[in-house]
Amino acid sequence: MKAFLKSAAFKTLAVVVGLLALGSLLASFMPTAATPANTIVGAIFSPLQTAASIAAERLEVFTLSFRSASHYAARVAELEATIAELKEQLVDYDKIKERNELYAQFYELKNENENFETAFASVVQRSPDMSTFTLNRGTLNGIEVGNTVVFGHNLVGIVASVSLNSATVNTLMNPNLNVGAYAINSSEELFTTTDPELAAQGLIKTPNLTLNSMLANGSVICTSGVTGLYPRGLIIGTVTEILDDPSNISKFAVIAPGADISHVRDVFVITAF
Amino acid sequence: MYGSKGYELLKPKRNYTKHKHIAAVVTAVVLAALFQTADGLLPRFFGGAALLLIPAVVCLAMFESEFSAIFYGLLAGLLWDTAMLHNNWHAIFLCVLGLAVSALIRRKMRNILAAALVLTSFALIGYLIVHWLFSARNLTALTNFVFPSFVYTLLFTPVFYWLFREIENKWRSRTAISIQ
Repeated sequence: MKAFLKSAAFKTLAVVVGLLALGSLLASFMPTAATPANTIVGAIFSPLQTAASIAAERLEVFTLSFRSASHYAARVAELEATIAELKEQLVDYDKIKERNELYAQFYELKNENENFETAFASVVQRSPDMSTFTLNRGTLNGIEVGNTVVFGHNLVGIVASVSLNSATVNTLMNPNLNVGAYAINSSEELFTTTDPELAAQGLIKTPNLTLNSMLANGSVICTSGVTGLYPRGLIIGTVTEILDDPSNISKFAVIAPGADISHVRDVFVITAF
Repeated sequence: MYGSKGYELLKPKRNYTKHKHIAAVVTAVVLAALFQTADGLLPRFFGGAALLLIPAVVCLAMFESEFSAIFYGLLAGLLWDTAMLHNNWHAIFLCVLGLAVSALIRRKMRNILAAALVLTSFALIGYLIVHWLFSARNLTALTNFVFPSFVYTLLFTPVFYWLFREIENKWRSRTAISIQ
């Protein structure tokens, strides 16, 4: 060890390290804060560094295009997953928005009719002609045959049959359903029904209008409640046109229902009023 | 005509091969410095960087004299310091490392790949511990930089050992033959 410490190599190292340390000390007094050795080496090395940096950039661009197949396939898959997730969120948002609107409308109806007792239900099945649909609630939720089904302020139909946890509803599109009604503008007593041709178009009608009927396009038709089956004042629909009845000499009014029966998903069943 | 072949081999090639040898080693060191310091030339390894100049100096010192090892270490260290704006700290470290490795190989150890791996490991541990103590000093830095850098850098040791052994065999040994 002593021999090594006295060797020329070790002495050379001591001198080199001493000079480097002195350089560092000098650097602290220089405005550039670089040692003289760094300044000299930097002057030579910098162009090489610049070239290496350019090469690195080129390499990056090259590898980007080179790896595009796998890299971008993975990226596309990731983005597709994100889009699918966002779509799900959008669907959820739409459902919540629609349900919120329904609740808002029904809240209004409930405020106007404090004696209403209701059950919330969702449509789980529909007949192709929209004349009936099935709800996911039944007698366990207090639903009985003859209960009125509404969407907001709008009449949808009447419960035709019920089991423990499901109920079948005859909608306004069912030709067998007759609803006692009146026109808001004229207060004349009417009833609504439909036929297969009109039901296929999503429409209903009030037949047998008298000659002095005041009904006109835009007249709003509501439930009259005279039969005791429905509460009074639920909106059935709006008159879109008055036509001659081909089977007799009377006229009938075509009505567009207030609720879009083919798209209704959540409804309220009025179990008592 | 007689003896001309042996004379031609001896005289003109002696300095020529020596210069070639120096040029090859310097080129290797400069390239190692460029690959280490240029951002993007070498990919990161789990957050760790390849500290190529450490195995480079260890491996070249194994085939060089103590004097040469000091100066090659000095060159490597200055290149590192110039790129990283550290005032001669790496130059001092690599000078000491070069001399220590060269002295150990000449006096105590065999010049084999295993020795290169052991010496590089010790040098890396020493460097990375000091680096860690003067930087983050937390577990995240250990796991995200120190350990990956150690493993990543050690992987290059066989490459440098092979490279400097080839340089040694190609030029230094030919000079030795021509001198004989």
